[in-house]
Parts: sequence; C-alpha cells; structure tokens
Amino acid sequence: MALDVKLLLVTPLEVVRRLGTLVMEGDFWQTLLFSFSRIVLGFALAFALGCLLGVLSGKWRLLETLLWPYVVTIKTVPVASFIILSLIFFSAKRLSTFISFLMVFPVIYSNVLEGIRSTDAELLEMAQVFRIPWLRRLGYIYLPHLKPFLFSACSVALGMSWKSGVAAEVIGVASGSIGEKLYESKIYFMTEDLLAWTVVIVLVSVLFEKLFLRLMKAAFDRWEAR
Amino acid sequence: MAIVMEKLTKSYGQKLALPPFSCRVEPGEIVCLLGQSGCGKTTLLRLLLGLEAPTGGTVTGLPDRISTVFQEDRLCPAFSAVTNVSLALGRQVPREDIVALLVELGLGDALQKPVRELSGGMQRRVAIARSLLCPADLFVMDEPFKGLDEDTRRQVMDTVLARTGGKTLLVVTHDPEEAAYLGGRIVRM
Repeated sequence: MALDVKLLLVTPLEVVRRLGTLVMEGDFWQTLLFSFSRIVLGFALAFALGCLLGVLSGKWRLLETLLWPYVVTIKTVPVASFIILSLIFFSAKRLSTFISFLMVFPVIYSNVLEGIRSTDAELLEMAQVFRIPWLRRLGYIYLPHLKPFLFSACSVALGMSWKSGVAAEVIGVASGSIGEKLYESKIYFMTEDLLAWTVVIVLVSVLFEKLFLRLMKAAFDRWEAR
Repeated sequence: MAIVMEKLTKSYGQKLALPPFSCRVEPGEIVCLLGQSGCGKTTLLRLLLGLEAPTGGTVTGLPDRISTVFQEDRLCPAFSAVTNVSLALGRQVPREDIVALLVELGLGDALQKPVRELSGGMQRRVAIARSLLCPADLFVMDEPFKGLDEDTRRQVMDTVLARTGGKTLLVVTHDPEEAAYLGGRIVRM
C-alpha cells in the first residue's frame, strides 16, 4: 500500500513554514487567547486555593485530614476520566479551566503543605517566645521558607496546566480553542497543523512559565527588601 | 517576685538532660550560670522559656514576659537587621529605637542588609538587640557573647547591663571572666 509520506511525517522546515502562515491567519490570535485565558485562569485559581489551603492545612491538621481523600483522588484518577466526567457538568468552553485547576491544585497544595511542615523549628520557637502573631510568622518565617517549594511546584504545574487544559479542549472539542485545532488536524490528517499548534503550545507554555516565575521572584525580592 | 526553681529536672527517655536543680533568683538580680558542656544549662533555659515541660520539680515566680538570646541566632536570613528586630517586637517599639540600638551595637553600616550577608558576630548582635528591646521583666541569655571579639564583647556587655538594668538577667556562659565582668551571682551547675 502506497502512502503519502507527508501525510504521516513532515519535516521541521515544513512545520516552521506552516507556523509562519498560521500566525498570519485571522483566527490564530483569537484561538490562542481563548485557550490561554481559560488555562491560565484555571492555573491562577489553583495557585490561589492551593496556597491558601496548603497554609491552613499546615496550621490545622484536621483540615489536612479532611482534604486528604480529595487530594489523593485528584492525584491518582486519570485526567481523561475527569475530562469525560466533567463534560456532564461543564460546557466544553469552560472545561479547560476546570481541568487545569484540578491538575494544578494538588501540586501547589502538596508543596505548600510540605514547605509549611518543614519550616525551621528553631525559628518557630523564637516566634513563640517573642509572641509573634501568626500572620507575621506567615510573612516572615513561613513565606521565605516556602519560596523554593513554590518555585518548584509552579515550574511543574504550569506545564501540567497546559497539557491537561489542551487535552480537555481536544476531548470536549471546545469551539474556538487550540484543542479544536488539534482535533481537526487529527480528523483531516493535517500533520503540519498538528505539529505547528503543538509548537505554539510549547512556546506559550514555556514563555508563560518564564514570565510567571520571574514575576514571582520579583515579588519575593520586593517583600524581602522591606 | 523571686523566681524559685526547686529540684527542676528534665529527662528525654533514659537520658537525663538536667539533673535536679534548685535556685532562687531575686527580682533585678544578675545570675551567671556556669558549667561544663552537657550539664543542662540550655535545657534549664528552655524550661524557663516554656519550650519544654520539666520531668520533675517546680518553677514559680516567672514573669509574664520573658525575652531571650538563644544559643543560636535564630534570625530570618532573608530580612534586614531592622526587620528581624521589628518582627519580634511589632509596633511596641518605634523604628528609631531599633535603629539607635543597632547603631549602638556597631551595626550602623549593616542596618538594611539581609542578615545572611552579615558576619557571625554581627548576626549575634542583631539577636542581642532583638532581645534587649523586648519589653520583658526577665532576660534569659544563652552564651550571648560567643563569637564576639574582645573589644566588641565588652562594649556589648556594657550595653546589655545598661539596657537590662533593674530587670532580672540570667546568663549562661563558659567564661568565668565574662561572669565576673557582668558582676552578678555565679551559680555553678
């Protein structure tokens, strides 16, 4: 059986060329913005809630115990199961936000909790003797200690948010999303498009990760320079 | 009110960290605790600070507010000397007073540097400043002058004596000369 090789494999040059034409197309930036805004929203919500609940669980062990079954479930259940299940409750357009939230939350939560638990016991004793209020302990003792935990968690979670978010768009065929473009590429055997969009996802994911980590570092530097 | 320790003891399992210790400390008194390493001096201070519960014995007359210099500096390394001191004191002490004491202790050039960039002796002085500014009635200091050169040590000891004047001061030291300079009662453990 004779097959057109281009149908299955394309050269890197052809992918770059397709990328060049893709960015000129009218709906490219709209598609990018559609997926970006939803996935980043999911990440941001997971980051905020993961930090909050991680800190509170570090303070109250009961909360950690209550959250444990949920966190373990999210960590172990395959993302595809969540995506299909969530389609019952969410429209395809909102699915990527929910799924990226779901995948990122346990990573941030677990790292923050681990950071809180491993905070220097000697500094905490100092805080106890000098009666430093909890909020001030959080800002000056816990937060600097959490820094490497947060950077490591975000570095992993940002990539995960894009992978899971786009997977949700593909399975849900969210109209106007990058996932829909990937789905169409698969249906119509447009390997060039598939790889070009994949490159776009990788680039946007890496750039956003760099930007986010830089902003976070600047925020920490500013706080520590007070 | 005098602080009275009666047969105060602390064990960790089979290990005796503090053999039965009794002592009476009058208000405003300076007491230097001298003893070999491992005799339980630091454990005794931890019991007084409420960081450990005694295995046996009693202690009465402890004031509500106790300030300390730990054996380690226990500073937040990313923050400046001023921030480290004000962190422990909140708004009780004006910033100008914090700066004035740090300058008095020879840290005028290092006020805004992260303490991790300061030398060991400078970090020690930050820890001493934090303790001295705390509005306490009892000051408990565990080898507070270690790591300081001779001149600085005398200067810091003078500051400690001036700032804790009238308050009870309990100092752990290995150095009999240091104890003599502080001029208080020497208790051997």
